[in-house]
Amino acid sequence: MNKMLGKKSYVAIFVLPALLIFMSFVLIPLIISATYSLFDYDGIGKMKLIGLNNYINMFTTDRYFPKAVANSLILVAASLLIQLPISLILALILAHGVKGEKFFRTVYFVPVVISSMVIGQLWMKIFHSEYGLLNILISGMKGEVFDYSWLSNSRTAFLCTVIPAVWQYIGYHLLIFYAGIKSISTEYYEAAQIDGASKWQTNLRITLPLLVPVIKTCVIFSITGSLRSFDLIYVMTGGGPNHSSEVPATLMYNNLFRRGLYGYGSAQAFFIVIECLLFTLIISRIFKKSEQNAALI
Amino acid sequence: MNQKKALNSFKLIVLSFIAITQLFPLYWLITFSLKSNAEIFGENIIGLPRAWRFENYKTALTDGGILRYFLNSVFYSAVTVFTVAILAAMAAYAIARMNWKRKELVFGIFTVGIMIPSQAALLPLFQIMDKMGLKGGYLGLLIPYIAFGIPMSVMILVGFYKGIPKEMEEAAYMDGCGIFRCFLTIMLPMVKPAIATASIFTFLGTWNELMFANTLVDSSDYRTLPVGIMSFAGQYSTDWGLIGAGMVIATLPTIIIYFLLSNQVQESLVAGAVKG
Amino acid sequence: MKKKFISRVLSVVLSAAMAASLAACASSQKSEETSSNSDNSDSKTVQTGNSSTDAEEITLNVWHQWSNDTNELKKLYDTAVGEYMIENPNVKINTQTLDTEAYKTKISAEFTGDASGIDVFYYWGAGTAKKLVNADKLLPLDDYITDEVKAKLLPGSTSAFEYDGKTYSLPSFSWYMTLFCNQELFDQAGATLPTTYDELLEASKKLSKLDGITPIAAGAKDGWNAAFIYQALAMREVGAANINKMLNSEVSFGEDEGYKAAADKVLELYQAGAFGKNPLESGNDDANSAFITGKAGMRIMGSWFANQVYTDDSATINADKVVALKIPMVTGKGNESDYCGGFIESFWVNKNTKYAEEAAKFAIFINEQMGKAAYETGTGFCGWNEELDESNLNPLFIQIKGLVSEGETGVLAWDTSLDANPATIHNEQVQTLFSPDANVDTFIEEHEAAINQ
Repeated sequence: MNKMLGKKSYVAIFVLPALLIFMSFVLIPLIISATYSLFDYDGIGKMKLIGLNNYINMFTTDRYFPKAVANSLILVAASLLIQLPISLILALILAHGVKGEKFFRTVYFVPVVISSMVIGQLWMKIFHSEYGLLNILISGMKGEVFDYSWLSNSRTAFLCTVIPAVWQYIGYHLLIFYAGIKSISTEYYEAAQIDGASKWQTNLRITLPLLVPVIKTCVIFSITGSLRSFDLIYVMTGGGPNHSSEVPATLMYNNLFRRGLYGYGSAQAFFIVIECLLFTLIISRIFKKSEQNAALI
Repeated sequence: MNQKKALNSFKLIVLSFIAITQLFPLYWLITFSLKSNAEIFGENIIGLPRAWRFENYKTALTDGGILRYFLNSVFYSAVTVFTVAILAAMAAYAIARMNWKRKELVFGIFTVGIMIPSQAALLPLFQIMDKMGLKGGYLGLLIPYIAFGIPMSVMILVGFYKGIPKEMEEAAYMDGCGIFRCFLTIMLPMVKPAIATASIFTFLGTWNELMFANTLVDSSDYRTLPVGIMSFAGQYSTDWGLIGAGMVIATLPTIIIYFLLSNQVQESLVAGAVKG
Repeated sequence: MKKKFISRVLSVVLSAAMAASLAACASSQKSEETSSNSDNSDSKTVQTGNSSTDAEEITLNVWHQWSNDTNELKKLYDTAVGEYMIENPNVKINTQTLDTEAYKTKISAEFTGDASGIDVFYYWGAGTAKKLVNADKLLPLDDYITDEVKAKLLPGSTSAFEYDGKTYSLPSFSWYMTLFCNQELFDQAGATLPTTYDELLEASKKLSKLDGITPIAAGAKDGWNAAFIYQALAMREVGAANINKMLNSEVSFGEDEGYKAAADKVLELYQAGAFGKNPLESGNDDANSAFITGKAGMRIMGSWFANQVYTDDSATINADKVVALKIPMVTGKGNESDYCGGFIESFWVNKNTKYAEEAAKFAIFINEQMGKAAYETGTGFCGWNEELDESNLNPLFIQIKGLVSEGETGVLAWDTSLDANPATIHNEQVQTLFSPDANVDTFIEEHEAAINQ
C-alpha cells in the first residue's frame, strides 16, 4: 500500500490538475500584480519602474490609506471581540443540548448564504434616514421625527458597515465551533461529572482547552476575512462619505478601476496579502503554546 | 429544579430572539418584494403586504433576460461545483494520504489562495485569459471560478481525510484494489459530507460573484444573474418592490441548496473536518 | 470476498453516477449553445434576406452603454443598425451593452490588451479618451472623413475628438446643463424663478418651507451629480473660457478666487437647506424621481432629463409646468452666453480592428445617426447639419433649444475633461461640500494638488 501511495506518477495524477489550474489562474496573476506594484503604470500606457515607492507612498502621501488600514483593524477587533465570543457562547449552549438545537443551528447560518450585495442593500434600507427601520423605531420611541442619515454621515457610516459584517458571519463561526465541541469525546465529560464539576466549570476546564485548534482556525478565517473585506462596504457606502468608511480593499478597487492608478492599486492589493500572511503566522505562533497545553489534557 | 427551568426558558428566549434577528432580513426582503412603493415607504413597513403584488415577480422574470441569466448562473455553478469537488478531492487525497516530499509546500501554496483579494488578480487574469483565447465564452468564466474555488475545498478536505482511519483503505489495498478504484469506491463515499460542505462554499462563491462576471464575459448570452440583477436594480432604482423581487430570485436558490445540503454539512463538520 | 463484492458494486454505481452527471452537464451546455445560436440566427436572417452580393461577410463587434431596454437611444440605435445592415449586406453588426460603471471597467480592462473583441465602441472624448490616444489604441478617422461629411459638421463640434491635429471620432449629440424648475411648487411657495444666485438662494429658502419638499434635488450620492452643481456655479464665477484654460492645464486651479467663491456658495446653499437634510443619501435616479414626482422644486441636470420629465411612467407632475432656465448668474461676474455642456459622447474605432475601413465607416454613420436620433427624441442636440424632424419634440426640450441658441462658450463636465485620477478627486471633493463636515479650504487644497500636477 505504501508503495502504491508513494508512486510519483499517481501523486502527479492526483495533485497536478488542481495545482496547475490554481497556479495558472490564481497564483500567476497574483505574481504579475506584485510585479506591477513596482511600477508607475496606468494599466494601458507605458510602465515606469519606481521600486518600492508605491509602498512608501501608501503611508506618506496617501491621506486615506492609513485610515483605511485602521478601519480594517477595527473590523478585525470587532470580529474577534464581538463576533467570535457570541458565536462561541451560542455554540456552547447549542452543543450541550437545548430544545430546537437543529433548528437554531440551521437558522443562524442563513445570513451567510445570502450574497453580500443583497445583505448590503437590505441594511442600506434599514439605515435609510426617512424610510429606514431604525429611524422609524427611534421616532416611535422618542415620539418625534428622527431623520438622522446614518450612512451619509462620516461619523457613523463606517460603524454602520461593521454591524452587518459582524452580524452576517456569526452563524458561520458558530457552526465551526459547534462541530468542534461535538467532536470532543464524551469520556472527558463523564470524568468531569464524577468530579462533580458544574456545567460552566466543565466548559472552562475541558471544552475550551480542547477547542483551541478550532478557535485558531476561526481566528485566522475571521482576521483574513476582515482584512480583505470589500463587498459589503462597497455596496453600502463605497468608502464614503469623504473616505470615512474606506478599507484597503475599497481604496485598492478605486485605484485600479476608477483612477487608472494601476501600479499603486496593485501595491495595495499585495499589501493586503502580506498583511494576511503576517497575521496568520503570528496567530499560529500565539496558539502554538495553548495547543501544546491542550494536547496535555 | 425551578431555577433550572427558569434558566432553560431564559436560554430559549435569547436563542429565539437571535434567530429572529437572523431571519428578519429574509422575511423583510420577501414581504417588501410583494409590496408597492407606497407600502414600503411609510404606510406599512414591517407588516405583511396588504395587496400581494406577485406581478413584481412576473416583471422581474420577464424583463430583459433575467431568466436566461438565471439559467446561465445555474450552469456556471453546477459545472464549477462539480469540477472543484473532483479536483479538490483528488488533490486533498494526495496531500493527506500519499507519501511524497513536497506535500507541505503544496498545501502551503493552496493556503495562500484563501488570502488573495480577488480584485487584485482581475486584470492580470483578464490578460492571461485574453492571451490564451479563453475569454468570452462559458470557459472564460468557468476557469477562474474553478481556480478560485479550489483552495478552500482543498483545506476542508485535507482535514477530513486525515480524520479517517487507515484500516478501511488498507483492507481495500490488501484485496488488490488499484489506487483509482480505491479512491473512487472507498475514499470518495467516505468524504461525501466534507464534499458537501466544500461544495456549499464553492456554490456561494460562484453564485454570488459579480466582478469577474462583469469583466470576463463579452456577450450577454453568457452573462450571470448578479450582473443582471445589478443592471435591473439600476434600471428600476426607485421601485423597491421590483428590486426586492429580483433579489429574492437571486437569493432563493442559495437558501434552497443550503437546506438540502445542510444535514450533510452538519454531519461533515461534526465528524471532525475542522480538527485541522 | 464480501467486501470485494460491495466495493465492486459501489464502484459501478459511483462511476455511473459520475457519468450521468457529466452527461447532464454536457447536455445543459449544449442547450445553452443552441439557444444562443438561435438568438444570433435571428439577426442573420434579417441580413441574408437582403444580401445577394458575394462580398466577403464580416462581423463588427460594437459596444455601447445604453443597456436598458426602456432607453429611447437604445431603440434608435437598434433601428439605425438594422438600416445599416440592409444597406451593407456584407457587414454584420454584433452589439453588446453593459451598464455605465461596468462598461467603463470593461473597456479599461479590454484596452490593457488589444481589445480584440471590440471594433467600434462608445466612449467619451476630451480627457477620457486621451489615455487611449496616448497609448496608441485608437484609429484616427481622418482618411475616412469625406468632404461631404466635413461639410455637414457643425463648426466647433469636433474639439473633444481631436488630439495632436488628428480626428479620432466625430460628434454625435451635445448636452446642455439646465436648471429645471417646477412652476407649481414655486407658486405654492411664493418664490420667483431665479436668474441670479441670490434669487436661487431666496427661492430655495422659500421652497424649503413647503412640507416634504426638497428645494433642489441634488443626487449628490453620485459624485458627478454633486459636481454638476459646483461646476454650474464655478462657470458663473470664473467664466467658461477661464475654466477651459484650467482644464487644459494652461492656468492653474485656484488662481482665480472664483473657484473658492463657488465652493462657498454650494456650502451656503447646503446650509440653507436647499438640498434637503441628507443630500448624500440620494443618487441621480432618486433625485430625478424626486423631481418628476413633485417632491423637489428644482434640479440642475443635463438637457437629456427633459425627455424623462415627459416620458417616465412614474412622473406625476404636470410636465407643461416645468420651466427650463439658464444657470443663474452671479451678479457682476461672467458672461450670460457661457454654458456647461457640449459634445463629448460618440463612437470610436479600435486601432487594432481587422476591418479598419468598415469600422470607420460604421463609426461615422452611427455618430451621425445617433446625433439625429438624440435630437428627434429630445435628448440631445445634433452635431450635424441635417434635415431634422421636430414633430416629436416636447415643449420642455424646445425651451432648452432656445437657451442653447444663446450659448457661445461651453465647458464640458470636468470629470470628462480631466484625467481619471483628478476627475475622481474632483467629484469626491465636491461631495464633501454637501455634508456637515465641509471644509472649503481643504476642498481647494485637494483640487490644487490633484489638478496642478
